[in-house]
Amino acid sequence: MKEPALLFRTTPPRTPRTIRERFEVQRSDLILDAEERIRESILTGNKHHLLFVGGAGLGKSHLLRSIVDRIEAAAPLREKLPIAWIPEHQTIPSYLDLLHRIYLSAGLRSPDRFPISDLTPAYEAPGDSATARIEATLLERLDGETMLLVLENLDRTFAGLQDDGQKRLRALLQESARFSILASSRTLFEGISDRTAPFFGFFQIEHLSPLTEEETRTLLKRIANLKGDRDLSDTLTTPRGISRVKAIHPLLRGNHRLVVTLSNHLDSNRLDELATAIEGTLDDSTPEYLALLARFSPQQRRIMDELSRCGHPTSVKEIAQKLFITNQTASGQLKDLRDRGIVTSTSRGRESLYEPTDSLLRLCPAFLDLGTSGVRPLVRFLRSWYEEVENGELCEDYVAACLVLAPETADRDSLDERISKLTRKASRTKTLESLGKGLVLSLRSHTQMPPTRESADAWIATWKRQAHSFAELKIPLRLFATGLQSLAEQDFRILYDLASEERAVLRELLEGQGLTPDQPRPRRP
Amino acid sequence: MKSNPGGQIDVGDIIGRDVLIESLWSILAEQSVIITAERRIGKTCVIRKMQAQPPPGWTAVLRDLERFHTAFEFASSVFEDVTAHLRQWKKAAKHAQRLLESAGGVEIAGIIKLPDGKTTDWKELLSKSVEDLSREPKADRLVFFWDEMPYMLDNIRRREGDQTAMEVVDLLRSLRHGPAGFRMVLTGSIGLHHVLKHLRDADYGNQPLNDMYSVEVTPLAPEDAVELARRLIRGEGLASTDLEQGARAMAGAGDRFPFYVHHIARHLKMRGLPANPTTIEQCVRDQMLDPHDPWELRHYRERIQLYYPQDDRVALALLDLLSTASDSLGVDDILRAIKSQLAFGDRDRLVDLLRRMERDHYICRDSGGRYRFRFPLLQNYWKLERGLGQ
Repeated sequence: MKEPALLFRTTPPRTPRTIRERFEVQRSDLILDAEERIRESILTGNKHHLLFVGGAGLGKSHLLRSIVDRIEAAAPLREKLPIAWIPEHQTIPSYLDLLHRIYLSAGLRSPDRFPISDLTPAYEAPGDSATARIEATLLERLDGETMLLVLENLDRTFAGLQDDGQKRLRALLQESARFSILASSRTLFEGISDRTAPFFGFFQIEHLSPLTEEETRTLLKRIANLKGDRDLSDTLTTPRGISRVKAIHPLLRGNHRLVVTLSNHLDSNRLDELATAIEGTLDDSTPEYLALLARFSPQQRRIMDELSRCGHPTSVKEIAQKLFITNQTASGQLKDLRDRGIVTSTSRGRESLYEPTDSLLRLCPAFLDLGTSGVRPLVRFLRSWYEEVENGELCEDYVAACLVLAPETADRDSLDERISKLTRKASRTKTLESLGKGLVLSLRSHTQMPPTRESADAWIATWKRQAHSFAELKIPLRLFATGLQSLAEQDFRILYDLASEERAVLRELLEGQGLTPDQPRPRRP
Repeated sequence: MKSNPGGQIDVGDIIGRDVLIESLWSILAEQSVIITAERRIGKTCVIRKMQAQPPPGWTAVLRDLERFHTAFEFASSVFEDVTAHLRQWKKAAKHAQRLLESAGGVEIAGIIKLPDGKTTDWKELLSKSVEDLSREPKADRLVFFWDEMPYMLDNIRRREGDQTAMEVVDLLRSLRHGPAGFRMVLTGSIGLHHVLKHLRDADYGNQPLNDMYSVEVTPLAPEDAVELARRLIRGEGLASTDLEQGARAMAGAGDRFPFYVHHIARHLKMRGLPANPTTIEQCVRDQMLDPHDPWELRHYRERIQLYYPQDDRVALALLDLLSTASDSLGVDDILRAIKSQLAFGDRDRLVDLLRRMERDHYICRDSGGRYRFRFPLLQNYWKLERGLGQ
């Protein structure tokens, strides 16, 4: 197998172009379009300013690099194009500093055209004069040509510029018409979305999407090919490979970086050991998770911790109670986190429920909490749930068995006894995962004739009494209970008591039966 | 030509503004101009084209004033522009330079450097710079295009107080009346009348702009809007079974606002859709309902409270009424309808509000003096946004 070290996970722009192009997924049209617009900006008086918005790990740096690569590769443009690249790790505290960085970056690429010695007068001038001098020098050196400014994490750059710096930058861009911007940001931010901000409406904004399940599989396959792992590449097109990616997808949510990280822990043999591969991915990503946490205030870290611990979308009131803070404080902090794209909010009736957006923020706390079994149970459940070939028949047998065990079919003692017998048998034959899947699948039969509330309660209680001690049945029991309750109540808002991955499983199941769980129905009287 | 909503457009690609630009130059021969227009209609494109292609005998300089927070910063920028202009004619802004030198300052390559912490009288600097301009009759006439003037005045008001902001507009007025033939074109994305209203609330009684000619930039003429759409369809390589039909649909759906026409082209391009009436209509609807509000239409709703703080509820009721009315409505019709919803019956106050909303481009009057929505696109958005019948 070839050495895969050339695939840079956290600094994708460092990955050689030829390799990056070979595993390009989803973004080809976007890259082509951006290339055309930048090309027009260089060759005509039209100046396009493009901003790509997407969360951590969605491939923003990779995308910018790919666009610049294509522009540089176009022979007529290569010589003509001055480029300044402000990478994400650079801190820009002021407009003067931004101008300085732009000049230095352009000088790294074209030292003859942007000599450092030209900055000497600016170094000797005070404050505002230095700013004016660098502006003048930059424009003089451009000599009527257009510069491509690549600004990673524009939100942070704008925070450093503050209102005054943003206005100065805008004035430079407007008055000179000599710059085209290619930028990225994790979220929309006040500097562009506030209607009174200088850059409001200035950028052509594209929101980057996570990978779909199909795209995740394509990316894994391309990386496998790149590594020369023919077995894994072939397996990914088989029903087994497809089902494994189905299980991975709700966990990684199409996060490009996590999928690339996962690829380091996969081969065709290890495709069955998904839990180990996911744990390896989270282990590799822990430093990034900790760095992400370090950006939050102590109060926000507590809130994020609580949201992760709850495991399901949580209301302001619940957060406030558990952290002994006021509703107002919790609400303000959650709104800030939502505006920054860290948490997602969903309405359930009149209340807003919050949960972490990012896969890392959802999965890492569970992985790092050594007092629990981490993410293993969830991964194993998903793996089993999406398995279609190996345990299909067995599952259907269990579905039938579960359906027979309804409260109407026997008295409580007898029902207890029969469920206990079934779980012991599954334990003995090491088929508890199939039993769990069968139990959840049995919900399909209740969609047309939902049980009464009393019946559902009795049913759930019996299963919990007899099955709670089996770790493999913990998640299926939770899904079964929530699903049955929502059918009995005819209220799918109850599904929000589940974590997003579990909710997705039930939603898919109910949709498969012609129900629309996203449309809330009134509760039964 | 690629779509570029909100971006900078090549002067050669600015379509349909030649007649307006010609008339603006002829007005400038006599007096200064205020350009008013609804946001996103292309004011900046007009002044950019004028700056790039002045008629013989004129030189134009364009400044975005939003970045200035003090009257001295503004006066310095005028000095710098005058200096740069006169240098082309091998002349210097002698009087202004002398003033700076007396304050211990120097000017190098058009940039003023004063001793740390020292400033000079901004009024004198501004006046002498303009005076220097008038002393060189052989040079081209210099016209200043000052974009975002209202924002600068607001910045100065906040940083240096109402008094200084008033002095800036007063001094500019007196300079316009001086012998120099000093010309300026003022524009801004918020109406100057909002800033002046604030100053009037602070006991400012002058009419500092009534000597300027006010010109409104309107949406493109129908044929120009179609030509823009045609170029965008071609430039973006959009599929279209009937280019003419697609271009007309696009121009109409964008209400002949270049910004919206550009947006439609971009939306179709990014989604790989053809330019035909069905996809264009769907595109407009998608954009209006898009939670990211790419057309920035929510602004029309959100600024109501800011613009009409005393009458915001009346303004909302009024727009709700006009958005669903099948025909234009007279003042008494409007008053009657509002009375049925709110405890409001002051006819004069309603007339004043209608005038202000007309100036802010929400509404307009037909030849009979009856009111309707100014732009059909905005009217449709309003109905969608406010959940009123479609």
